[in-house]
Amino acid sequence: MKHSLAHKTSRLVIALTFVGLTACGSDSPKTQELTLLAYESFTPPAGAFDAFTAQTGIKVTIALSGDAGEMVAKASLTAGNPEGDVMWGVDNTFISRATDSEVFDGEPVAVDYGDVCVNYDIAALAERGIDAPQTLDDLLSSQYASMLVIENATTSSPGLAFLLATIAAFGDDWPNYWRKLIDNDVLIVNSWSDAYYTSFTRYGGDRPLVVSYATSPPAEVIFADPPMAQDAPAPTGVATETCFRQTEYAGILRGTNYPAESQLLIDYLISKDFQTLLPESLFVYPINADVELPESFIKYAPQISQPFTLASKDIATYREVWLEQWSDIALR
Amino acid sequence: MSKLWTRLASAPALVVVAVSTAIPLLAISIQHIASVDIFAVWQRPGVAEALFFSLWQGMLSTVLTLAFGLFPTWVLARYQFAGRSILVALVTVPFVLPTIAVGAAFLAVLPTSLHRTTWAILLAHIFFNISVVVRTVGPLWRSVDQGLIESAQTLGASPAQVYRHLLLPIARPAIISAGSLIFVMCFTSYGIIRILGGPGLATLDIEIYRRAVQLGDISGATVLGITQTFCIACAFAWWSRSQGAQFSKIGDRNSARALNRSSRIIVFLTAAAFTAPLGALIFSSLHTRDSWSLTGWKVLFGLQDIRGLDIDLPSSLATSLVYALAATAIAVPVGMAATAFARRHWIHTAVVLPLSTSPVVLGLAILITYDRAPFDFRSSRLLIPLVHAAIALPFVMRATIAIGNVIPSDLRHAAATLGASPWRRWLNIDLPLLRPALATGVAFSLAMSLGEFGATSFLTRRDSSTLPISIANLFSRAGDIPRSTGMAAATLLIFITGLLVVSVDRRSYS
Repeated sequence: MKHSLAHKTSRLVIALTFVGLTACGSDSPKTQELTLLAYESFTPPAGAFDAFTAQTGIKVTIALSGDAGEMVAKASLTAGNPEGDVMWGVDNTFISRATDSEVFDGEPVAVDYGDVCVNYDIAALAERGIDAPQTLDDLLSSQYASMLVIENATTSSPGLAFLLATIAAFGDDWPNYWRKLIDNDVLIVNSWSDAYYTSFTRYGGDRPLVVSYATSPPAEVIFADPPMAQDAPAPTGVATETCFRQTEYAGILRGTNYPAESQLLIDYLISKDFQTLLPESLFVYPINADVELPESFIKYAPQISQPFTLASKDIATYREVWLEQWSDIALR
Repeated sequence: MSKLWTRLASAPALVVVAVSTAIPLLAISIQHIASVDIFAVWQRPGVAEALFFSLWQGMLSTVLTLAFGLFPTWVLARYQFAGRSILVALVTVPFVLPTIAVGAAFLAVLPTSLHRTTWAILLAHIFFNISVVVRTVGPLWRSVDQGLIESAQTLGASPAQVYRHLLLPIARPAIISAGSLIFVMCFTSYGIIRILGGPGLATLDIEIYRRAVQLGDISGATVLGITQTFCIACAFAWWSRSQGAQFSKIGDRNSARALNRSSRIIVFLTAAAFTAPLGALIFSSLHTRDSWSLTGWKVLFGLQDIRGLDIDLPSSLATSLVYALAATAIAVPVGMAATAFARRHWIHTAVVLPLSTSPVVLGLAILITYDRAPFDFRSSRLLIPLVHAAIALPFVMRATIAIGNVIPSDLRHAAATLGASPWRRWLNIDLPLLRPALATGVAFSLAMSLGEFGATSFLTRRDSSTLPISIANLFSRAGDIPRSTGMAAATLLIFITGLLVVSVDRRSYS
């Protein structure tokens, strides 16, 4: 009796497995909906995916997953059983960790880039009668003493990028550079908004130099209130030899049930249609070279021809050591 | 029969805690702790300092909050004056302030010399948590018979003596109750310290976040997270045991007294301290460069389109409100049932588990626990309100028990003798007397949910973003308009919460 029950069960299991296998094998399941995991500040304009839905019949749901670091931490934990189908926006400081944890199915593709650079308040510098700095070495000069505010590298992504710029520039000698920078009374705060909106002179602070983005000047122009006069220059400038290049990637999440459709979405993310929307909504540069930059970028954002870069493998390997060393110099 | 009732009543609270916290914590411990050397984690640089800092600033913040908080609590409990309910709402709203807005508001009114100092943190902690004192201790003092105070005075007691020998002992259980919650809030403080503290200052919660997110060291973060939860749970268990004797004399509804000189000063100072940062926020929403401007508000309400600023206020506001109402609908009945029937100490320790757990660790734990069918709750819309409710539970329960303790037991006995079931006794005797506690529970649940408190900031959201997320996004853009729109959105969040709190209080905190 017992034997026959077990026998029946196992036959049932085999039968079901067979049905399951044929279901999968004959035709991969089609979906009407894909989930795009993205960091919280992913704010493309409304209707950005309408063209994709029109082409493919697939609706895109955006799932917000904390900031870029949180998103990668979560994706690494759920690798193989992801919370969505495609992930947008892992930058080169985190991409190595994501690929090492086998988050993606195949290679992630670059989707946009931008530069983290020292910005300056043109009016505030003029008032003090000082020229704008251009290089990292300039920042050590006594005329910029007590003028620079930077973000904490252990808590802020532009803060980390600036630290990486100095590591790329000075190699093993970077701790020395930082000791001198600290001696020049640089102010370290925990977040970009704190640096920009509290300490930067343009918003009432007392520091005319701030670590921000190469695209902050066009944002200052577009969002100026009251609006700026036609053809007036941007109120802030960029020290073009202090920049670290951040590249963001998107990839198909390993474990998605819909790899084919996910690939269509990736194709759309790097298509001209979608990439055209990026500059003035995320304030990043499109990776697609066919995209014409908007006027605000051409006029107000400097082209950074030689940004500092580091291999993302090295960043992943040394991040903890570098941050530990940096904390000892800058925070303790 | 009665015992069974008691057990059943506390079951929902335990289920909420188990599902939201205990089971996920167990799961992440099993997966991630076994392989690491626990002691090595504690010896890493920064960890011991973080624990020490968490402890001392947590204790100091608690003592200061109680010391400063008892004054407005007394006045708000014993006097009637125009604008009283508004003042109660005003001290409650800081709870919902997204930390980024608190930073802006607080830094605007704080002298520059205090920026990024421990003083700024202590002041902000007082500002944030005073409502816990006002709302937990207040109802008790409200119930003290005026005759008692007057007879003490007739017998020659000075105000200080009345305070020390009469009012303080009466409020002792509630003060301990409030103090222990404030300690947890300050010990685990994250946003305030990130924004107002200097970059070198880190609590254990910040260190845990850094390990998990910046360094990808999930095991290390889990070890620290579990230890933190365990320490706080132990402290709580001890506190619960040392709760003072029950006070069984309940006064009449107090005759509304008019303000005298000293109470007027307290009202004025409290109002000033709480309006200044909020005023600074409103000012920043209306002022850019050197001119006044309504642009921020216009953009917020969709009256003006700015290229590159796509914020969908109605949908993010609706999402926030739906979450808040759902969280309140879970936390208040579940919490009140648990306290009304079960006066067991260990339950109070159990419900503080979600609040005392590091948001990162809890967020990750939930993620890896409920990831397989049929328990794949990661995308469930109920998950976020459930976690909000779990975090608000101890506030609901503490408020309830503070008052529940003073409900005369002879009333219940009389009802029992007359044949009323425990349920009827609770409905007809306890519930009406518990209305201030109900209001407090609702207010805290709404506020904690609207402010995106704790672990939910770490959970993935599938529908539209919430108001706090929209505010954070606005503050991550350079330019006048994102900034003023962000300030306007933060003001709106405060205003909506204030309105909800006032309307709840109107109904029951009277």
